[in-house]
Amino acid sequence: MNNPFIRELLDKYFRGETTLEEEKTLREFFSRDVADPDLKPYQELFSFFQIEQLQQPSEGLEERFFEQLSKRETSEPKRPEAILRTLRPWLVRAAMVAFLLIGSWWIYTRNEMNPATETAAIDWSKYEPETPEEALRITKEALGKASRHLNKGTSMAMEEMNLMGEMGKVLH
Amino acid sequence: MSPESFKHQILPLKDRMYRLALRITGNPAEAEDALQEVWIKLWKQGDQLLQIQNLEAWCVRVTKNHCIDKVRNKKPEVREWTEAVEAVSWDQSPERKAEQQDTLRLVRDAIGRLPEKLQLVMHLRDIEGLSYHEIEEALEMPMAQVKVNLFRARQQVRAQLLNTGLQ
Repeated sequence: MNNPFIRELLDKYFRGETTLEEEKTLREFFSRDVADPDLKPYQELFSFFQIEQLQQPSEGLEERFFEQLSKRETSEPKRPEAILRTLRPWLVRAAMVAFLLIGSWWIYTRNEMNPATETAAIDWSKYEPETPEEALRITKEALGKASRHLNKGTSMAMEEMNLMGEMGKVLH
Repeated sequence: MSPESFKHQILPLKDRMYRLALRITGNPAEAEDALQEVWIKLWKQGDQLLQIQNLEAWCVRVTKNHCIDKVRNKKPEVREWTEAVEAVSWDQSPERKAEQQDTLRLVRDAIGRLPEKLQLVMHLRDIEGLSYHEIEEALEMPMAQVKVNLFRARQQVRAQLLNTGLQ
């Protein structure tokens, strides 16, 4: 068997393990006349790759593209979506400013038109005790009420402490 | 993007983009139309295009997606890929040249019968000479998948070539 190196490279190629450099070596080898008949099909394959690399678009394609582009830019009116896309940031800002102005105006006019919302001044003199006895009675009532609530809190805490003690006994 | 930067950055890739369009559409006129449409798409991206890291892979990707969309619902047409074969100076007899063309047609058909993904991977590697990483980016395909597809494509083409009696 001739060309053991090339055959080895071909095996690598078909296993998908060749590097670009090794593939270049194969292309170069097959671009020459190959004597081994069993290598002929591979020569056709590599010739095909080389021929495909020569495919090019027709002459003047770029010029036609730029002509087409300039025609589009001059004759074609800007599409509404494109205009909208350009104006969008400004429209958002304008909407925000308008929203703030309308909101402020609404709050201002609402307050102007509804003066009843102002709280009326409380006449504390009505609740003032008139005699020292009355003042003493009110103070005693207030202190008694506070004392009841404080005692209630202490008794609740005692109940909880007792419960915890019971639970401790059960657990031990 | 200015026409000048478009000329310098995008147009040098025209052959590669055209060949890919031709691979997918199978028709030179259609491939040229597709290429122009792709250029317009790229032009519309404006300055954003210049911020793309691998512009070449991006252009290949846009071309691939555009051409696949274009041909998706179309019937396959008779392929007209003879110009390149004609253009090559083989320095051979007319008989040998005709024989060569038949052989190349067999190879082309063998590749053309591959599933689309396999064809594209083989095209980008064996005709365009892209690295695995470039193919990964251009086809939005994981590297392992690129390698598996290339392996399968080459195995299937080899089997077809040997079956068609290319000796």
